[in-house]
Order: sequence, then C-alpha cells, then structure tokens
Amino acid sequence: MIVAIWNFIRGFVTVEVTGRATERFINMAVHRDIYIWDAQSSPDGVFMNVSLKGYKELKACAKKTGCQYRIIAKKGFPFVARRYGKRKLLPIGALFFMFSVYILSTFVWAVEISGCERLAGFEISEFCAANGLRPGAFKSRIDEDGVEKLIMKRFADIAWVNVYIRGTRATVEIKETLPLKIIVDKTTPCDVVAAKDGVIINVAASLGSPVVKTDDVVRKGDALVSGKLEIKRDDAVIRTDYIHAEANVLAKVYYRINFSVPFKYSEKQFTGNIYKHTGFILFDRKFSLEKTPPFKCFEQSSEHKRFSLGEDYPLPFIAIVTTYKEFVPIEKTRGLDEALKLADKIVTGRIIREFDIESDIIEKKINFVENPDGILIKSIITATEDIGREKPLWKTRDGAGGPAEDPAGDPADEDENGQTND
Amino acid sequence: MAEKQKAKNSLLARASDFFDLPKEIALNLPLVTIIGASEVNIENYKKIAEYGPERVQINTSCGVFKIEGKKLVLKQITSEAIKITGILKNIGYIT
Repeated sequence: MIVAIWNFIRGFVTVEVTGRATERFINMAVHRDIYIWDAQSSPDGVFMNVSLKGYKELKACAKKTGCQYRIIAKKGFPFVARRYGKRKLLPIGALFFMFSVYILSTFVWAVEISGCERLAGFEISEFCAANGLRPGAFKSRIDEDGVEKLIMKRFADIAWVNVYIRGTRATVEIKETLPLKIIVDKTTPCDVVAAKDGVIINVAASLGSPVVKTDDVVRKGDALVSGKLEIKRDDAVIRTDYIHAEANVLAKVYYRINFSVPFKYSEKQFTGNIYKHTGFILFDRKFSLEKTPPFKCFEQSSEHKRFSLGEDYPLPFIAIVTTYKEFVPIEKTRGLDEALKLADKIVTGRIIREFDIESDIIEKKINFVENPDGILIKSIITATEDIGREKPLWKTRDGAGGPAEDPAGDPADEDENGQTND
Repeated sequence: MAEKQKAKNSLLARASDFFDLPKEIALNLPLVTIIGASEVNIENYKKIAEYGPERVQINTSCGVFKIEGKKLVLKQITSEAIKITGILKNIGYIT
C-alpha cells in the first residue's frame, strides 16, 4: 500500500510490450535498473508498470530486443500536476486553503468542560469566557495556568482543575471536592417539627420528649418531639433543660393528584414525508435560508454537526440539519376502560418521577367522575415517610446556635433568660 | 573447468557449513521463499527465461526454476529479486 502511494507520487506508466521475446526485454530493462512491477500477460504481449524515469530507457531496450511497446495509461501525481498546471488559480486556491486551515488552527474553537457533577457546566464556561477562554480566542493569548488559578479562586467546590488545549479544542477538566457532610450541631436546642401534613404511625425519639402519639393528625409545622425538658419533683418544675431533640417520625402522608382524561384525543400518524433543511453556523453567526416545510402539521428536530479536522481540530463551522416529519392528526375516541388505564399509567408515572426515594407507597386510590367529555380523576396516594425536621428553638445569633456566650457551662442557667419560641 | 568449479564449490560449501554462513551468499545460490499458495520470492536469480500466465521459468545459478500455476503475475522485478504472485500449482527445478 505504502509502495503504491509512493509509486503514485513518483508517477508511472503502464505499457504493453509486444514482440517475440518479451522476457528478454524485461531482463534487459532489469539489467538497466529499471523498476518493473505488476507485469502480467496481455492478449498480445505483456502489460507492465514502469516508473517515469525507467520509461525513458525503454526505448533502447526495445531497439535491441526488437520488441514494440506502447503506452496504455499514465498514472500518478506528475501527470495530474501537468494537467492542472495550466490553471494558475488552482494551486493558489490550494495554498489559500492550507493557509486558512493553519490560521484557523491557531484559535480555540471549542471549549469543553468535563467533570462537573454538582457545579453547573455553563457557569464555568461563562466564567472561562469572561477570562479569555472562549471559542474564537487566539490560542497564544490564553493563559491556561492563569485561568486555572482564577477558576480555583472563584469556585469553592473544585479540588483540582486542569486547563489544556489540544488542537483547537480547549478542555477544562474539573475534579470536584467531596460533598460536605452536613454537620449537625448537637449543642443547638431544637424541636422536631412536621415537614408535611400527615397521620403519625410511629415516633422513635432518641432525644427529647414526644408530644404526639400514633394516629395523631399533624399539620405542617406542628411540633412532634420537643427539645424542652422539664425536670419535675413532686409536680413542680424545678428546672427546664433545652436539648437537641432527635427523632425518627414515621407518618402517613396523603397526596392528591387530580387531572382529567378526555375521551376525544388526536393521534399523530406520520405520513413518512420528510423535509430536510440544512443551515450553517459560521463563527457564531447563523446562515440559513429558513424555509417553511410544505406540510401543515409536522414535528421538527434538528441536529448539530461540527466540522472537524480529526478529533483534535474542531472548526468553527457547524451544520444544522433540521428534519421536518409530516403527520396527519387523527381524531380518536377512547372508552372508559381505556381512559382509566391511561389514568393509572399517568399516576404511576408521576409517583416514579416526583416522589422521594425514601417514601413507601402503601396505597394508590383512583376515584373518578364521569363527564360527557371525559373523566375527572381524583387519586389519593398514601405514602409513609419520615416527616420530622429539626427546628431550632430560637433563632441563632451570629452563626453560633443557642447559648453562644458559654457553651461549655451548664446551658440551663443561660436558657432561662433566653427566649423560647416553639 | 566444471570439475574445478565443483571442487571449489564443495570446499566453499564445507567452509560455509563450518562457519554457519548463509549459503545463498557464500555460494551465490538462489533463495526461494514461498508464502502460502500465492506468492513466490526468488532472490539472487539470473534472468527470466520464460513468462506466461500459466508458466514462469527463471534461470538461477543451480538450474532453471519452474513455476506452474494460473494467473501468474510478475509483481515486482528488480535486479536482485523477483516476486511472482498468482495461483501456484507446481514448483521445482528442471535439472
């Protein structure tokens, strides 16, 4: 293969040698250091490929051996060059092309952010753009180390960042820090309150005194476990302690999902007619001859395709292929059973999508009211969840919770002066 | 003359054997390499005696080397080596 490419660059001639002793002709040519390849018999003699340089010497061989030869084909770059040599603009165009590719390759045309998990990638790319790392920036003007330092300074959650440019693609590699553990300040006195309305199933308080029992109905914000600890002797309160209440409060929570399912609906039936339209983005400018497709109803989808020289050299040309698919809306009606099935599917879908992973669904009730147009779904979903949320007994002062003056001392003395709000 | 050549050759042959020298260089013998059933390389040949799509004969220092087959093509010819490709059927020396 490599040899074939080399031969093409050097140029070669396919000749047909005819005569009595073609072997002699070949031997003589070889003796004169002419490189011959792909010699195969033809109806009259032998076809063979000879290099351009060797071709000139064939004449002498032919004379001595009494063979004749004629050119069948001329192949290779020298012949192509000769054919196009007269066109002055062509090499200029080729040069211009190479030059423009070179110029284009001195810019950054794509900035990629990788490794974002909690951070928003677009924030980082905006920040990079503000600091000079953006598509269209001159490569030598970009200070990778400087951008790295600025990113580290600006975003607190980044443990390590690496900015590198390969080809015309700049990559910002980010490693985020491990998520901070929520540190519960156990010195802050607090209650456990309900985060949602519900019916209590079980209260398991590890710290604090429960104020609700099983089957109690609580509203959002109601205290469930109190952090106020009254120490009594003979029914007289002798001291009040405020502690950090901690509890696992399991409750039934009811969710209502209401929606209606009409009997009449339209379905898209694709006709198979497709209309494609191509536009371009050139240096962030959109060039497209917007045309409306010749369909009344259609679905539209577009695909961006970036031109690139290899993997490392994306270019600032993006083709946008917009596909329009024609469809015909077909009016259909469904029965009650079908509508109910659909309603059940919708409810299940919403449970999967919207409900917390830790909540257990224990009941799914779907009630409906039938109208002439459709059915009105009123579904009630019962789930068991931990509804307890810690709520400090009083607002924290300057960051530190509770008795900030003397955290080591007995909190009770301080707390009697402190204001409680439950 | 022939006897002398033979004696010289046998001496050389023994010497090259003794010193483990490659014979094709020491004794100017052809080196024939067959790759699969489709390619023959002949190094150190003298000249092409006959060429046809079904038979190729090549003169070497130890006789005429004959290749029979189908669609034989002289893939590459230089003064040192010759490469023949095609469907090989029968290969041997005519002595």
